[in-house]
Amino acid sequence: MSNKLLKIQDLELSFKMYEGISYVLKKINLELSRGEKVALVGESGSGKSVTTKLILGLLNQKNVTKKGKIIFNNKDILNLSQNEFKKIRGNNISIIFQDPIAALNPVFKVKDQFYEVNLNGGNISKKDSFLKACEALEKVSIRDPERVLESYPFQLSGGLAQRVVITMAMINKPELLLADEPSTALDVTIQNQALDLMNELTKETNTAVLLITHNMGVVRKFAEKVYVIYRGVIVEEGTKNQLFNNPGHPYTKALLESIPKLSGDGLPLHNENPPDYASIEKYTHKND
Amino acid sequence: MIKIKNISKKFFIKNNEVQALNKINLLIEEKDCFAVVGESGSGKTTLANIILGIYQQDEGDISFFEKQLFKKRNLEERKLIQYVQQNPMSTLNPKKTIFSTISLPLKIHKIVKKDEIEERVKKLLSYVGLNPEFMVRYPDTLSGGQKQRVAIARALAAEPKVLILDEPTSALDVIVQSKVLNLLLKIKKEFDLTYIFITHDLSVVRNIANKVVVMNKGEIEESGETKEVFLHPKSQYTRDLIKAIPTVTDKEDAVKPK
Ligand SMILES: Nc1ncnc2c1ncn2[C@@H]1O[C@H](COP(=O)(O)OP(=O)(O)OP(=O)(O)O)[C@@H](O)[C@H]1O
Ligand SMILES: Nc1ncnc2c1ncn2[C@@H]1O[C@H](COP(=O)(O)OP(=O)(O)OP(=O)(O)O)[C@@H](O)[C@H]1O
Ligand SMILES: [Mg+2]
Ligand SMILES: [Mg+2]
Repeated sequence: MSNKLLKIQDLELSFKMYEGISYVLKKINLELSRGEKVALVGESGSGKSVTTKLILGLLNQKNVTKKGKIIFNNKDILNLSQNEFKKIRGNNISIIFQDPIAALNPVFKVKDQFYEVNLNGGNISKKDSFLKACEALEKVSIRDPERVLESYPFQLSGGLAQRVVITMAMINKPELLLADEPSTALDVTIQNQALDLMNELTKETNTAVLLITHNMGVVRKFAEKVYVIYRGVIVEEGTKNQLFNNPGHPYTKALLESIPKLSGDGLPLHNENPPDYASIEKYTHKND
Repeated sequence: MIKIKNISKKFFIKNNEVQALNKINLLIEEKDCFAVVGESGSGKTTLANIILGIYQQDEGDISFFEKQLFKKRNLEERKLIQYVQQNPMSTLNPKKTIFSTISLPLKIHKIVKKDEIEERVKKLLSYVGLNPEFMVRYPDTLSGGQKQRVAIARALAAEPKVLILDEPTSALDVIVQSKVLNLLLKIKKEFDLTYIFITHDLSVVRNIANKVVVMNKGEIEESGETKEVFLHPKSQYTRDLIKAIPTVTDKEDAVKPK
């Protein structure tokens, strides 16, 4: 028995497209222990969101080929049936999707969507569900939670929708929280609160968090361990300090050099064609 | 160039009233890169929607080159002010290929001749760092950042004078982000464009915007030259906001106001 909550082994994914086969993930290896806070960072289009979709069993189209293992609680879940996945989703594993508006159902009020989620956590009346949701929304600085609950998704600002989705994902205290760009629509003050809440959750219920973000400041604030993905390959893994102080892979270095500076020295410039970093060897920091 | 006078907007949800904007006044000058930052839910997107004629304000006026703008717009007015919406994932039509999404404004505004459309779509895609092969794809096969770049390409296609960008780079890694921003700045210079740039990323604002307005609860907290606002914020809210920016080095932290 291993004490790892999630263990992704040699995961591969490809799509059969009109133009040919598109290899999206090539041997992804990634581990999370209970209560651990791990960040997954990398290029746009490198395969972060599809990785979370595989963990949740959401990629089942005919043109999908997947290989490898996703071991959750000592059980390979990569090829579970949809019924088995339903039990895991919303109970053991929950997700904050990258696009909050698209993640909500446009034809139901927020309160009704909360009710669905709250039912997953056990029997509850509509009234209690409403109160529970109010309380949770207040924790992310929503001043008028009743109004937000009575709204349809299109009536919410980007950041309000994002806070609704964050709250829904945390309310049943999952074992694993997949947070895909959870704070892009939040101002920095509320962003910090959201990170604090996730942090509390890891302490209180030993929830593990896989945080996907493009914001390296957020990584520095939140994560213990970091994986860097580039074109479907994990090119570097290490503790937060190793990564920021001693990046090994050229892509990680380029990433750190490209962060816009608060001192306002202008944006970094880049040449047109990025080198094929992925073919360069992988960097794993082992307690250095 | 764009004058916003005394704009207010309320929404009603059941028994609740939301004052999204409360008597907003702003002057956006030609060739500005005008950043709008502030609290989530403070009315930034609502303001964009009013400038674009998507929402009708309750009170106040907007003028564009001294001419008053009404909710109903003619084709020329619509062409001149383009929009990159927040959440591009939910704003691209899932039933249309990327080609037909980007070629639509080319056709509506007769930007190029029919037989040049494909060439132009390819050019726009490579502008935003996407392989022209993406033309045949549907949105749900793209990553978040790829969709965001399609939305930028679509807005540029109409050859506008003003571009309203609502969180245009939130789904891009910092390398692609700086490429896209550098490109936007280059295009801006080449065609004398004006940008209204809505974002929560204050480090980006610091590097690309000449002016910034800070919003809070539907009102303007403060506005001014970007450098001035960052170095000497007048309002407590702005100061708190700048202090809360997550940074990657202690050196960066030292730049924040005390
Ligand atoms: N359903 C699909 N069919 C075909 N290709 C797909 C599909 N979904 C994603 N892809 C492709 O797989 C690659 C990885 O996509 P993914 O959404 O995981 O990227 P990401 O790392 O989350 O990027 P971003 O940071 O931009 O959101 C992209 O090149 C994308 O175009
Ligand atoms: N169509 C609508 N119907 C009802 N309420 C709305 C509508 N559009 C916006 N609102 C409300 O108006 C307020 C301002 O929303 P807006 O989208 O302008 O905020 P924002 O500053 O863009 O926030 P964010 O940074 O979170 O995107 C929010 O409380 C929002 O829920
Ligand atoms: Mg993604
Ligand atoms: Mg908004």
